[in-house]
Amino acid sequence: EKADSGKPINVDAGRVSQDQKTGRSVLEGGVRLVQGTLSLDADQAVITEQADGEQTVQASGRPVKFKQKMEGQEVWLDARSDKLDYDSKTGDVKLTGNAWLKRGQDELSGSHIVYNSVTEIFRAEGNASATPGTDGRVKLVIQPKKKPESQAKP
Amino acid sequence: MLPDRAARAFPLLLLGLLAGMALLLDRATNLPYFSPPAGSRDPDLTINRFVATGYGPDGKPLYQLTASGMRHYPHDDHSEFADALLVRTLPGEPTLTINAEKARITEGGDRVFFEQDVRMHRTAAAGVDAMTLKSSRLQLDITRGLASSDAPADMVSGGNRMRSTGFDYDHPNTRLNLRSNVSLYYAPPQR
Repeated sequence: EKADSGKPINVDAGRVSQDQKTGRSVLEGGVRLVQGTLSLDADQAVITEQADGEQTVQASGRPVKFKQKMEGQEVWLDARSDKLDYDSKTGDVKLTGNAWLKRGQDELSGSHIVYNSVTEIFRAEGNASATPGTDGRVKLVIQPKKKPESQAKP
Repeated sequence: MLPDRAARAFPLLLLGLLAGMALLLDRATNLPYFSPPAGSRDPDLTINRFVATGYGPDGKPLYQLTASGMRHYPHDDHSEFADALLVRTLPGEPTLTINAEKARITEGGDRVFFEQDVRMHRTAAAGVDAMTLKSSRLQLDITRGLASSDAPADMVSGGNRMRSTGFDYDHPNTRLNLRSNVSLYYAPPQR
């Protein structure tokens, strides 16, 4: 949801190594990050606190899992990828490597997907050599909207 | 950068002071020296309102250890302090303050063990927020400025909060390792 980016970030991890001069924290041993309705689960992550109090997150996992509720709807966006970069200031979520995203019934996969958690807009890129066993092209499945009962009958 | 020679001398100075005080008092007061029977675990020296300060070549204090009471135990040459407060003010570093209900200095002299209601505070410095840490025990290597604990700890730095079981803190480099069961809370940015 839009309000997520203004919420505190809570993180649980197995262990953390923090350089307090650079604001850079390396989190290992399983990482769970929650910010409002947005959540992320990864094997490890690097969180860097910026001077303005914002955070950038670089997560990796097998895979990294991302989830967020859509604004004003009971619809959730789910995403997975090998790597995920999140910027709390811009709301950008970059999914890299075996990227997959599902919103409601619509589904998208490719080697790169960029989703913005504030505007809820996403963009996908294919890469022929990136994903073995696939043609590397972007696949998008948009489900037809169910017509109301009255229009459904011939 | 390891602190300079004077800074490294403080622990040895402190230990030398504690270990030798009993003999020193004997000469000053001409009291018969009571040599505790072998195996005795009684203190041979107690001091109330204890203050020990180590200075650098420029005359500025580098360390100060204060306590409401101090006891020295000759059987293993360790000293115990009540309401202990250690302040480390090395040049080029933010001030580090550690206080606790109890502290202990062991034979080697370069480690202080703090116990019960331990609070460590680092003042803010260029690019580094102030940090306050609470735990039930903490071990400090005085010379190298390395603090560690295996106990649960609760830290606040800037608007952020951290909890873990066990930590290692390198003060000169402001690096912090949180050993396990870590929870971080990043406050929302001011927009």
